[in-house]
Amino acid sequence: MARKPKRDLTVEEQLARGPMDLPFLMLVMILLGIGLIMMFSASYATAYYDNKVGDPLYYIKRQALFAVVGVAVMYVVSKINYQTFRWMALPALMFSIILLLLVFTPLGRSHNGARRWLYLGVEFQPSEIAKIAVILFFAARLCKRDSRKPRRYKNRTFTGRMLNRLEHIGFLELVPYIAVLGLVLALVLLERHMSGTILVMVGAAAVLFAAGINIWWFIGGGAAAGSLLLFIMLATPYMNARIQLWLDPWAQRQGDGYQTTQSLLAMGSGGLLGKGLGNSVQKMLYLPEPENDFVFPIVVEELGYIGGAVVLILFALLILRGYWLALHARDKFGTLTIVGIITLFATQVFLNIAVVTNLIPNTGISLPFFSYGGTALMIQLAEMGMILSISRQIPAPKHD
Amino acid sequence: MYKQPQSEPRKSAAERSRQSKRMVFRRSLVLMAVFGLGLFIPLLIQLWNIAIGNHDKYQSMAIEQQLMDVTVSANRGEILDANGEVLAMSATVYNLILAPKDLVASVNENKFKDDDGNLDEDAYNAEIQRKRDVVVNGLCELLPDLDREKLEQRMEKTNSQYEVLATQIEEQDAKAIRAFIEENNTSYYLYLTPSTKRYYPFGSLASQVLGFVNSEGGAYGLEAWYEDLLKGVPGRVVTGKTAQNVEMYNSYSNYIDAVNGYDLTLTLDATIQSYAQQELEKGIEMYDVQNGGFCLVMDPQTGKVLAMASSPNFDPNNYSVISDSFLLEDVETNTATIYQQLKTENDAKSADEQLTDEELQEQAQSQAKAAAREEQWSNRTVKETYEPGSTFKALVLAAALEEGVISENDTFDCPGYYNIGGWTIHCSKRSGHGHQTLAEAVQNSCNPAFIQIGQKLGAEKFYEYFQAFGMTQKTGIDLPGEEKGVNWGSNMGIVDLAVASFGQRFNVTPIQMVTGFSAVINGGNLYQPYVVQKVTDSEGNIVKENSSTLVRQVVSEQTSQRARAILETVVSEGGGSNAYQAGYRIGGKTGSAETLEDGRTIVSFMGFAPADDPKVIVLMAYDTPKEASPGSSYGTCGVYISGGAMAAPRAGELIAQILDYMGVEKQYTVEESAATTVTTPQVTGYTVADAATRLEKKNLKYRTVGTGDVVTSQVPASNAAVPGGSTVILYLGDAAPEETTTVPNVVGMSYEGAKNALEAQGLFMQAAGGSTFYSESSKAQSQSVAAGESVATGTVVEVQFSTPVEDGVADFYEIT
Repeated sequence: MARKPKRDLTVEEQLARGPMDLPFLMLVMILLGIGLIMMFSASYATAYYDNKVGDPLYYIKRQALFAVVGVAVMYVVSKINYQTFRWMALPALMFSIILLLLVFTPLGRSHNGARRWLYLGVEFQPSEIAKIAVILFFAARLCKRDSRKPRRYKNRTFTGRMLNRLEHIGFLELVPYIAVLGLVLALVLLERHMSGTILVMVGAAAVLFAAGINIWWFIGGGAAAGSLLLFIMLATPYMNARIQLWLDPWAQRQGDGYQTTQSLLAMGSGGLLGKGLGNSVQKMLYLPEPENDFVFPIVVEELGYIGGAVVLILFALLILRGYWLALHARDKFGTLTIVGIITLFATQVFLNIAVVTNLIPNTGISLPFFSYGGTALMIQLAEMGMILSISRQIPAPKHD
Repeated sequence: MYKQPQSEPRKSAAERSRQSKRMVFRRSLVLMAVFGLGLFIPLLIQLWNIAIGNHDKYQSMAIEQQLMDVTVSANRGEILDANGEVLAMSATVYNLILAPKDLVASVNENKFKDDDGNLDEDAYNAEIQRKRDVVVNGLCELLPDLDREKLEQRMEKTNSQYEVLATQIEEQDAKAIRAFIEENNTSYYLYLTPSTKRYYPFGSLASQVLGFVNSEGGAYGLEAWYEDLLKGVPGRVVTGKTAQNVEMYNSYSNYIDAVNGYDLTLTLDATIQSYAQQELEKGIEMYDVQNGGFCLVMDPQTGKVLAMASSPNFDPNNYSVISDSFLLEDVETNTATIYQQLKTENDAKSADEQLTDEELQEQAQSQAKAAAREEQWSNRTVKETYEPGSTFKALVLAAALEEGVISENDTFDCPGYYNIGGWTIHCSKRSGHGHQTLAEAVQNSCNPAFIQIGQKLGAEKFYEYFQAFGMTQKTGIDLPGEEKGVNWGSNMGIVDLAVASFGQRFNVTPIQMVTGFSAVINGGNLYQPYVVQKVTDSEGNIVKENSSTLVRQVVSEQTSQRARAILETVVSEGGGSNAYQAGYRIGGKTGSAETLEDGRTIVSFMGFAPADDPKVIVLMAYDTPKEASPGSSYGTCGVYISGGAMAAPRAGELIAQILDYMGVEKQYTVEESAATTVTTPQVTGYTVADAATRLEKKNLKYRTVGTGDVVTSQVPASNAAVPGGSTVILYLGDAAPEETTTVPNVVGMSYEGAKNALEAQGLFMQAAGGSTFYSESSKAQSQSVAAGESVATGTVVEVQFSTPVEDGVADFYEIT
């Protein structure tokens, strides 16, 4: 398709051809670069000593390939006029629900007792797609919230009065969201994907929150979720054990606390400036999965507190720039989409670092751009592409 | 009734949109603050706590698990003899280690799980068993000494990661095991660790001097004395390891080099040492010696110990093994004695404390064995004290000459006894030596003469010299466990003095005696004896070099020379004649001493050579030659029990071997030339002049028969053994030797007479006998070819001479 000359473009189309937000792009590329290098360093020993892998470059080769493809995807996505995401949101949601369901067919794959992967040429977690689909769906619907007319029901009937009352407190408005979210969460939970559940919930909640849903719903929902969580913790021996483990991982240093304590030792032995790039010892089979969820301890061991803090600050800057873009987005749909994606992203970063530093109990969430995992990386980059796409339509600041 | 629920006027769409936008903006700002800033603060704080706050703690914990701290054992230094011959060395051996736990771990459980994670236990266990069988079968084949049952039991110890299966595996076996490990890929749970083993290539050579090494390091001998120098400083290799205990591929190693132990070069000479040991053993066998003996060879001019032998001996390669037959006998008898003792003690105990008979027997045996081991490990030349007996007379002689109380012209009368302080002290020759010169008194080892010399010196002077000769102090030799003798101290009585004058009733160590005697003959200097010549590091740099240490000059050069001359006559003419060796001027003094222990006599001989410039001094001593019957003066071997009869011949032979080895040229006297056997050279076909040169080289004379320039025939033929100085008959031209000749009767003739009688008949004489010194009184006892027989011209006839035994070496005194 031949590129239309500029004069033939509609205003919409012209806007979509605006420049990407360079600071955001730079931060993504810097983090991706650091992430690849550190993942390489962290995975080297694991691959080296694994007889089945044999090639120390095994992980980095794959990751790098996915990164290249992912950057291309990011660029392509950024070129898409994000307004099209509005109508694509519902089909995407349906599609992701179908994918989630497919996991329970023979196409699904299970690892370590959890059935959450789907094999369609490549292996990936449908929950990754569900997360963004839910965000898009919520953003696309919630951005039109202000133009939504409150429903009226006949006050004469009891149900009518009830419905009016519910409408008044804003509940009826929430029903479709609760229904969609409930369905997706149920499916993800069925896959025994706790971290996925949390992330889908956080993404959806962020969009709902930003869209202006009454704060009391969140307070109420949060209180309900909190008390449920507390109940589970206290009532189930399994959760109780995990809490004990979290409070004192050293008591089970050779047992369940092994990974956490090794992670602490890695970061602790890094000190201020670290042992130098590539010089981690904890990656020598001490720290399990250094290429995956526990890549950050290796970063700190090799680059020290300074290195770790720089990575965290870069993440923070990326997140802040993301919100900045959200605040300046052309329309509410853009704002809500970015808020959803960025909050999801920030939550992943937070949960991962909080786990490896034993700030919270282990949940098993990977670190974006750092942890090994091709499809996850590609989806993350695609999400960044969406933010970049939205950034293109931010009007240039007026000069006086 | 119906009421519009419109409490407030509806806002316009634009207003609502603006409001909504503001709301979204505000809410996003909140999220931005929380997720962009708020969440990172606890992370940074927590990270700070871990990486900075607990850095030291976590780092040390991490290092503890990450480091492989391997001790690198330093090679123990070698011990070399004076010529660089290796006497003790260390070599790498290996320990074989099995980790049963790791063997189990090496079987991947996941391989035996189905999709649902259920373990197929049978298959899993079968795989473990298969791996175990591979190891057990392989090792049993490679190391036949391994107990299969025990090995299988150890395999079951699945909690253990360190089972030592075998130790001291030598390189050859280790190689095979290494190949096995590689082939079967078992290095994860079966491996070799290096260790060291001490080897003594010469076995029991100088074993007591060298000592040995046990698990704690050097024990006994030089190995113990120089432990710090020999052992070196073990190094460490600190390397990073992976969680699987394997060195990291990019291991940052920190080497603290092991400093290898220093090598010791001894003054000891392996050849001389072996001569000494051989002669010592030979004598022990010949004279049926009950308690072993010792032999010390030293360079009298420097104090360098050349050989040090003690019997009973042992092999430091297997230092616990008792091999000496007398010791084994002792163990048996002692076991019985100890057993009886233990039994008596045991019977006195209450019933429940009592041991069984078997246990007692076992205890008794182990105690007896332990005692025997101590005995065989002991270096008698420095640890044991003995009564020097008459050998000590040499020191008295030197002291008296130095003080000028006697001179060579003095004469002494010996009626066979001497009365002093109410005691009668007998001479060894009860009938007395009669009137004798000083030299004769020394030759005769005459006790009354030496009592007189002692009296002339006086107790004070005597003790002064006693001290000066180092008899009261340890010599300070560089060997462990040195003792010193016991004596009366400075307040010696008149009888003490009398008895001490011939070397009895005080104790010294052999090394004290040898150094003291050396001072008599070496020009008067008392040297500190030493065994280690130099200490070198593994590159050969000299760390420390010992040189001879002069303690003091005891007597003057002249006195020493005079004493030497007199002592030489002891061998050439006196009681030490059995030590005589043709061609060497040997000096010396015999000695034997009865100890307070009943029936225990130590016979000894102190010899030195060459007498004019002593290069070597030898002390040979035998402890308790078996008496033919209790109280008898003769041994079971038929030899008179005395230093002169037993120790002197062995010492003489040893000195000859040593001098030969050292390349000291023989100086034959005329008589000696005759006594030495030479082989005749081939001279037939040579000119007379050439023949003369060749014969001269062999110390042979010649006479010619017939005329002509070329020797056509010779008597005796070439390669015949004839006494040195004999006359070879050369036939020139047509002259031919007479085929046969008749052997004359020489029995009863003197040496010269017999020789002349035989040579007149064209025969040669080979003199034989215990001694090769033939005095006027020597008479031919027998001849190898009977008189009147007809033999080929040039035949060598062996003639046996004997010198009447004039003992005069064993000293004893009686209380009357």
